[in-house]
Amino acid sequence: MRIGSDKNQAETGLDQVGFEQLFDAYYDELQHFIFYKSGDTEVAEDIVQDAFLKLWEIRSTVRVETSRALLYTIAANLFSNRYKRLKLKLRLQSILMEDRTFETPEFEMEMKEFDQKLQRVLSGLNENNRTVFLMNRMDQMTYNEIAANLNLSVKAVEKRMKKALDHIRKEIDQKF
Amino acid sequence: MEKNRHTNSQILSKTHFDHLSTDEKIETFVQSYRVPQNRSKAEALQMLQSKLENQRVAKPIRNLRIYWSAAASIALVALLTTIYFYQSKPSQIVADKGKHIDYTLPDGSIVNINADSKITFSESGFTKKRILKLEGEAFFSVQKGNPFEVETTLGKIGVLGTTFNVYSRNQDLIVTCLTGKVQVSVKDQNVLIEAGEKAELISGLLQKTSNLADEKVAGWRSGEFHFESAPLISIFEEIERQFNVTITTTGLENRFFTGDFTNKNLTETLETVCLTMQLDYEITNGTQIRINPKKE
Repeated sequence: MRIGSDKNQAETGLDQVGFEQLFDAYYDELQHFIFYKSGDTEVAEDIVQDAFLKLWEIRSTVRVETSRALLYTIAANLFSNRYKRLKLKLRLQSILMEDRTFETPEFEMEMKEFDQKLQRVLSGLNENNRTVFLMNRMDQMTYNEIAANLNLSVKAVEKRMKKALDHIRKEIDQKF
Repeated sequence: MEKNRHTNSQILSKTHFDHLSTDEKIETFVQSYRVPQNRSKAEALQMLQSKLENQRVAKPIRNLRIYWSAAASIALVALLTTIYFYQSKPSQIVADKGKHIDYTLPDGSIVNINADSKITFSESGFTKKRILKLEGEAFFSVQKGNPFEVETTLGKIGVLGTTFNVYSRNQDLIVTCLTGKVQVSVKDQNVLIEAGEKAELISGLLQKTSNLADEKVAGWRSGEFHFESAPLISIFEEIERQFNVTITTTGLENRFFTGDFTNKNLTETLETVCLTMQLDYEITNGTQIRINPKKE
């Protein structure tokens, strides 16, 4: 998802059109990003609103090429300043569970339990590791993309992915 | 975005699921997850636009380009007045005693200002030349960009984009770095500190110490105060600032305190400190506190 370079976007500064293009391109992934951190749709949507308001305020100095990472930074800053780390409970919607009729009620139970357990484990992950893991798995972002968006090195992203995976595997294997 | 996101419906018979490895089971489920949304993207955009609309009505136009494109002499006069106004009147953000303020600077960096502290900066061109003055204590989360400088009475702190805390009161200057790198300069002394390190001015000498626990750096932001062999007097000064009270003490010079308190409850805090330090306290008309060493 790249924003096309318009005639006046070579320089710094965003106009209304450029701003709305950014909104269109990045709203969802930013909402996901804060959701991965907070587990709360309300919080995620508020933060992303404010992040775009902030971006609009400073639009005269914004460069389109760096605006994606900038939005991530603003959103992360807004989040960490406004909300204390609560013990969160992630409630992701599973299309697997919604759209499916199962062979037997027992199997459905088993699947439900697995789903709940996995969401519990994801909720229990360290915030940074969880965020990176879900950006990769759910938003299909490459390690390079994540690193660029979060101002991290690719090494750091790899490390967080590994930690997340190790933790999830270990926890899931305990009972299943 | 939706690549590889559909799960094949044949996969999910019980026999098949039981034969999957743990990793495959995890992936099957993670692939099936969607982030819930209260409002659609279109609704969110509408909301944002109406907020921006309100701002435009409420605030005088600040966009310099509009002035230029108008190119009329009146506009020019207005522009000059605006510039003059901005330059002659720097913004001041003051956190009174008993209050903390979270403030977002024009460049998107965030300052948490502790009680009885003040920052001063010039709004015009801040994003280009990021300089601000600090009296008291504040925690900075700096956006990456041009050099960012904090001036205090005793010295200067320069960074590019990091998070760090500055404590500058009386003859004390303490800078702690949470992430990134921070340059601290006092006259001709320079110290570069990194995450987990602290630069402190001790009798005129800038010194570096390390290995701070993350949560101890600027714990004040969440109302937690941590002290390690700090002069007892300075503990009571912090309590004065956090609770907006006046404390008079006798005979506490040369005593030191190690421990924590929170800014949630005044009597609890006084109890914590006084109990460990063998002191008596007395509160008169709510905001006046006397502290004496315990009588035998």
